[in-house]
Amino acid sequence: MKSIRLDPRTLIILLSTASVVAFLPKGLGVEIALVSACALLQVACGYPTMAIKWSVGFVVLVVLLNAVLPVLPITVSTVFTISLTYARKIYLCLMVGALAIRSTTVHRFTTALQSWHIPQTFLIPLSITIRYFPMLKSEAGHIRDAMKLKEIPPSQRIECFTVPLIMSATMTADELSAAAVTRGIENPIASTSTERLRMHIDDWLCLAGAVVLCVVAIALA
Amino acid sequence: MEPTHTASAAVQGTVNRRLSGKDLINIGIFSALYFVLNFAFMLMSGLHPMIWILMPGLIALTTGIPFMLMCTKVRKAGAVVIMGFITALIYFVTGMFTPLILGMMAAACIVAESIRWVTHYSGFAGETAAFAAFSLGMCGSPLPIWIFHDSFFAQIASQGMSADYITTLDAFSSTPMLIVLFAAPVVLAVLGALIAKALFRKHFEKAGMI
Repeated sequence: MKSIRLDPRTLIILLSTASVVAFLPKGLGVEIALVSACALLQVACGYPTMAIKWSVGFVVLVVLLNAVLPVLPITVSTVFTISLTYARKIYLCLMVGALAIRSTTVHRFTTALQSWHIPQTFLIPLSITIRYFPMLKSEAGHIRDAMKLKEIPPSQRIECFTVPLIMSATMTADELSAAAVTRGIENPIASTSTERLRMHIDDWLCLAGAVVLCVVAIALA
Repeated sequence: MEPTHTASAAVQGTVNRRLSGKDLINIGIFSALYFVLNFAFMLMSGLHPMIWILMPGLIALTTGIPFMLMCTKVRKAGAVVIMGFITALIYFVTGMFTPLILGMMAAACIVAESIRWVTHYSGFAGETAAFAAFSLGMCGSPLPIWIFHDSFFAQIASQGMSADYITTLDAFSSTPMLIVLFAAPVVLAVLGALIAKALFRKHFEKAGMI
């Protein structure tokens, strides 16, 4: 079977419906139905491993919360009950989120937001932020390596790490601005894109399914 | 280049209000730094309910540097809203933000922007106040413990926890804790801004980066 490729807009709306049902009181049956629906969606999009991982994760979470934590000493279970209960509440959002991140690119995503008339003033910094993460990671690695070569007293470690990192970030911002301005980032005319987004029948089916599940969950609540 | 530009513009009294390409890139880069720190504490908050309640405060303490640096570099309307938008959107797409935090973030950004506008985008006190307001946005994360209190505790009870235990846990959702939740970001934001200021003095001003 050919896997479907959802439009980023569909994924954003799915996330919204998932967060609507997140804090509703739900019976275990409804929860299982919703998680299964999400897992099926992940399979349909071509990520069966992801679906298995998240389904197993849910079972582990429920077993932990229902069977393991109640028998643990109170001091231990205090530590985990609230965060795990919260994770269980937003589990659907996390599942759709994982699918959104794996199945769409930053480019497709910003194109989708552009089609909703989110101004470039928001989208340019957003793309920069997302693309700067890997650079930040490698930069932090370099600084850590350099720090290992010198004996730096623990009291100074944070400062010795922060200052070069901020310096490099500031420098990157300057260099990138020069490059981007040269390439016409300040051009007021809406930029064109090679990405053509269209809502397909799959997208509408997914949304219809999500709405039905949402209504049923609310009705049962 | 930037300081002389803003200085001369201020003298003329015609500050360019629109965000330039350079401003947008600065906002993007400092939002990345802000988000990484924010995310680190978000992950840590799963370790203990107390860390979760203090999380907005701890984030304020550590993110003073990227926030204040961005404010120094971009003295225009919109910078804080964009930083908040980026943070909220990334969290939303990964499934970690509920409408409640989104609302809190939006309100916090609007208040912070208003403070910056009133204080003419300059002065340590004004930027610190804006930072404190912005930091309050993250309070939306642990807030469901109070707002959806019944649904939350009903589920915990249905998971088979003893009544004794629920009483212990309920202490975390008391009114004093709610005060701690909202007071910590304000106090620690001031501290975070002071740390940022000291660091700027010591390192960045000499290097001519601000």
